[in-house]
Amino acid sequence: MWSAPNRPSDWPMVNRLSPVEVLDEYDGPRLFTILSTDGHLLLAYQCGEDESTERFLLVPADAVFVQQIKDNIVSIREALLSRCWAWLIDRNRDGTLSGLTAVYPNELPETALPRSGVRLRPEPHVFLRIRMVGESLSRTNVPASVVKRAVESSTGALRTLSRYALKELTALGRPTEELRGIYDLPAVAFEFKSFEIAFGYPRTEAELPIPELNTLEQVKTIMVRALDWATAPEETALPSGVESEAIINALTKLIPPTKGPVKEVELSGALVGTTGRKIKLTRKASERVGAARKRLKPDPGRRTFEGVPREFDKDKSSFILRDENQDDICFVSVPAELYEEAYYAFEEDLTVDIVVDETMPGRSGDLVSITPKKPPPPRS
Amino acid sequence: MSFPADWPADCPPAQCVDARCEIVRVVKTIPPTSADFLSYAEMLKEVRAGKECESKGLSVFGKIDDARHYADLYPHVGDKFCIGTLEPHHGKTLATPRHRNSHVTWWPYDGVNRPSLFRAVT
Repeated sequence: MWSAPNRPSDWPMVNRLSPVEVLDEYDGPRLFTILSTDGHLLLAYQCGEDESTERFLLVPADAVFVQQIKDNIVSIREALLSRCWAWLIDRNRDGTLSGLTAVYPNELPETALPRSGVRLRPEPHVFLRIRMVGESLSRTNVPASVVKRAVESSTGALRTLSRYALKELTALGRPTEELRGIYDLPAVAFEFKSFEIAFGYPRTEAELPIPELNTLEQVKTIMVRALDWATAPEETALPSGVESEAIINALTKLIPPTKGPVKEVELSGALVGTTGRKIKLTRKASERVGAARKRLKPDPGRRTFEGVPREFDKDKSSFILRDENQDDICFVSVPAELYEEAYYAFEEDLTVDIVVDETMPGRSGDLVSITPKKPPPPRS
Repeated sequence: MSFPADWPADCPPAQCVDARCEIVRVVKTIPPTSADFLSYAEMLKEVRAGKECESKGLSVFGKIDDARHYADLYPHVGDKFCIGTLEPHHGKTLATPRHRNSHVTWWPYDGVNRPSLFRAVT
């Protein structure tokens, strides 16, 4: 058993952990309410056990708090962490209690709390849950760029795969309503431990027309294939041709950036496979995707340039790529998912290889990838 | 085939059936050990009044998704999964859904080598 913080407490007064209401059981009650001897309602969550004791986290509760858990409105972790103070108590095999200790729930070991986002019942309505993980991210520190990345990477990856599934790879301009209906998902939940958004289905499956439903199924199949490939211990060959390109383009939007606060992206929900499956995209996956991207057969409108990012415009998310003589090579628009890499290269004066989809031949393009090459020569 | 002699007379309950199903159990180690297959009562935990028989059974699931959900809810229970095929000589089972899931209670016969029936879910 892990060691509990040493903050002995003489409140709450509890003689036995006799459930008033059992909210959940697994080989016995693991989540239930109790009353202290002076009549206060507490929620008990089993957070550990060994051969001789069971350890419970006790948090103050009321009827509304308990009902929110029962109604599946809040995740169990979020509910437990919402109480700033709590207590740990050990129940011995004979039912006697010992070691009442005051704790901050967020100082407990990771395995002592439910995983982020998990509610009392599984959520069949969650189509895609995306969680941005990074050491500097917390409830009180979620930069707007991370929120933006979470939204844009999810919808961007779906848009890419939907376009492929709808055979619209070459379509230009405003997405068709059919396409938009698939990727413009309704947000159904937010959580602020790291940063997390859950998206529901585009519409209920019963409401979706058959062609859209088929597209959605195809998108799910390709997404699972893409994530399996990105997270396999050893790199395997991708399917050939256009699907491979769709996979790489979709993954490019989902992977964590090589710099910045987001170090890992966790995905779950119906879109990534069976319920309960969680996929972690790490920076190792980012390297794999980046390398595969370089091997893609170039589009006719795709160009590669070498230079140094200058004149970075944060408002318009763009920069000018210049050569060593400080002549302009290309005006580059930067999508959200490559913003941090591009800005880092700009700030550090790095020479980079970039790939762009040209919007005006020889003059401007949308950034597809950016790879630092070497430090630039010193400025004169 | 019989249940342990110290079980209550009406345990397992009359409505349970001969085991004949594929089930998943959350475990701490792969391959699973007998420690992964101890019931609430076998762990000598305090049993609530009226739950004496239930405490002799093991929590298992008909669907891997539900097992994963419980491993996420209670990480201290284990983060590995094993699957086994139960036959009538392994005991009796009863569907005991929690929140409409695939939870099953399994009352193994005395002497059944429980971990040997299971293999890791990859």
